[in-house]
Amino acid sequence: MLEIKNLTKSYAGGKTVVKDLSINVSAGDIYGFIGHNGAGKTTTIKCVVGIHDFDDGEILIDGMSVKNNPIECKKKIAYIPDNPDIYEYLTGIQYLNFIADIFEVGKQERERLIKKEADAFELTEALGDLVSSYSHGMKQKLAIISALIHKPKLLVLDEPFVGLDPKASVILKNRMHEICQEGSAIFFSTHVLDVAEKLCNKVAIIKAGELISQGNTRDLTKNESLEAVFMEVVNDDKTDMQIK
Amino acid sequence: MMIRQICRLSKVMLCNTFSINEILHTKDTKKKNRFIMMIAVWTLLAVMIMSYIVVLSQTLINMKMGNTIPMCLYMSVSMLILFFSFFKAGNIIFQKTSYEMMVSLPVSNAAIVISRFLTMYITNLLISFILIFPGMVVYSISTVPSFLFYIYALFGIIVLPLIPVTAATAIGAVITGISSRMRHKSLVSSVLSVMLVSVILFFNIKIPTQTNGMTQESFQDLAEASTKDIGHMYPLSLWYNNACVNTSLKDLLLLLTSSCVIFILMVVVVQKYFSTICNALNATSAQNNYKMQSLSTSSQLKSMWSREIKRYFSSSVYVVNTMVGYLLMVGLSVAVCVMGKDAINDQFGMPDMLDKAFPIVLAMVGNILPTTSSSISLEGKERWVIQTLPVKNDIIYKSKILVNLTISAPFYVVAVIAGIIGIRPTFTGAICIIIVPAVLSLFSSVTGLFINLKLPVFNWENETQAVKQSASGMLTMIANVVVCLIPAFIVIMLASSFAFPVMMAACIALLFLTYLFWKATLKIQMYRL
Repeated sequence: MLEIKNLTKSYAGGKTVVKDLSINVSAGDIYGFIGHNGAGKTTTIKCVVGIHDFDDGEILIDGMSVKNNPIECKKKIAYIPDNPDIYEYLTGIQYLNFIADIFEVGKQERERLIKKEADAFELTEALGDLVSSYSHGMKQKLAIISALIHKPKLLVLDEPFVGLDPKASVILKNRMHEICQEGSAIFFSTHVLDVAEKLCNKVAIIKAGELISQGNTRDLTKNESLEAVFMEVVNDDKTDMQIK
Repeated sequence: MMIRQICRLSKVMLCNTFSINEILHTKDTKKKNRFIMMIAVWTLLAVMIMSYIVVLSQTLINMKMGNTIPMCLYMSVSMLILFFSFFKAGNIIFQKTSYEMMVSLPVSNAAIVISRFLTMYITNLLISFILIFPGMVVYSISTVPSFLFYIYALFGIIVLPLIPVTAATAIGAVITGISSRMRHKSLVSSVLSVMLVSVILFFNIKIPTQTNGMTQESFQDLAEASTKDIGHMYPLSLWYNNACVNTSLKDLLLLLTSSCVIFILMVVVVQKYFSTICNALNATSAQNNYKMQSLSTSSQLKSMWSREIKRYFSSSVYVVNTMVGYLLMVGLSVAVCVMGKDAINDQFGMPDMLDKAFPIVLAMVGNILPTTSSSISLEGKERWVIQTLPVKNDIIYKSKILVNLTISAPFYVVAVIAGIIGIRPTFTGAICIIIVPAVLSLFSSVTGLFINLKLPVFNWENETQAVKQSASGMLTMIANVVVCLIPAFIVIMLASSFAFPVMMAACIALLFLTYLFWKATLKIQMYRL
């Protein structure tokens, strides 16, 4: 579903933030993307969803190149950023209807899906209010609902659990499982290692823009916790820095 | 301690206003080039305005009205600061985002308020110097005044922004205060601001400028009458004039004391009620009682257009700034209709101007600042939404252009009908009145969008920075004025019979330019911004 081949991305000024990164996310995968702050997670995600251009490599969504077929690729993706800055001048329902229009979701289908997801995330009553009156968590919920109403084949999430209340977190986890069972794939970054360990069937750890390890969560962790595996990477990082 | 806090807060705000840190520290060559371009645009604009003031001052000297230069400049600059600050003041003084961050710091309310006033004062002081300096140089060359003139003139300029900033803050606070109690805050605020702008514009038109056929004596009479009129309207400009021309210490002291006292009083009052005002202004209301209803479906273009329209009316700064041109356009046509074209020609001091170049004048005033010139910048932090949606660039760009055309359409219709009734043109003249403003509206929409895509400002803290203080807006204005002035000059210079072919040729050239800009616009990808 998502193939990242030898992705390299540098920012203006010459700093390379992602180096030769390759990841393969198949249909049905919940793929966790882990790394410390500034490791290159968000940059990679932004390259996948079309916010950033990249210097080298290839990104394929369902076999199509993000560079050559951006619109077709975007039709298959839903993206939720770490900080959901959503149009504050629209009401929640206007925003969802706008997204449904853009993804060309049918009238009855959109009404059914919006009701279903908004009820599940307990946001229905607030949908008539302006987004400017929403809390961070409510905006996050709205972004999640907007991502789910067009049934994406690939869901890309950047720190999706930040700001969500415990109940909404549980609902989101359940929905992530359901989506994957329906044949879609999920690629998401997180700092919450417990969540990643329990939720993801595959995990990739990134350090300073380079992929350190990836694979099935069980194979990667073996008898250790994901936290222990990750801490090894962090400690290696510290040792590297001390040597430098 | 408090002075140190004020200095630090002001430094941060000024750094943000002028993007100083970004200019100094960015490693992005694209961004650096953008900043250089912005500085070049602002410099060009400053040079143009300074040249205009030099010419104007010299004209006053030639008309033996040189002694009114300090007063005219003081009055004009004060009006300009008031005009450009009154809805910006509310945004800066009572700004929500940085207010919430600052009140959590161990900083007193007084320090926050004073630093915000100081930022506005310093910015306007810079503008005052740029505007007054050339005129005063022309005056001092022609009259060779005493040394005291320079001292008094300098002190006067230093206090110039105080009263307009105070008045702007009061008006801005009242407008936002009234609108904050309403459900449709931005709309009410926009309506109130537009009403105020209309009053100021009407007030400016009322100032007599008729000079045709006047003799030397009548010019002097006019100078005396103007001094009296302006003195009544704004006594501070009269005191400044007396301080400069007659080196009157009494008038200088009056000017300094009144400016400082009123300003300090305002700061004290705002500081006392700062938290209350901020909380009232930034309060949001939520009904929390929505029940699922039937939803309508739209095409991508209609949906994007509808979102853009909602964006437009959500910001009073955006509405007021872009609507000034349309109001002027209607105002001009209605004035021609009511007062007659000869009276308006006299106002401009050009006898045949409206007979020959009315369509171009109408087009120019109506398209001063198209909505597209800041529509990309106003995507701000929310631009990730359209960057990740499966929408082609041309749909995004068309929706933004359509918004400008939709907003301008009713004003255009009224202006054209009133213009045709007022001017009573020939058949070809009527065609020009219909076609020229429409073509320029299309040109300015596309050009504004292209320029904004090339010079976007996304990290604004308040919308004023994106709409009014951006190089994109300024460059669009200059482009629109230049493409109008060239044919206007040719039409005025030639006989009336040449007006139609010249204007049609100009329209064809403009349409071709519009096509070229549109093609260039389509090549710019949203994700590269």
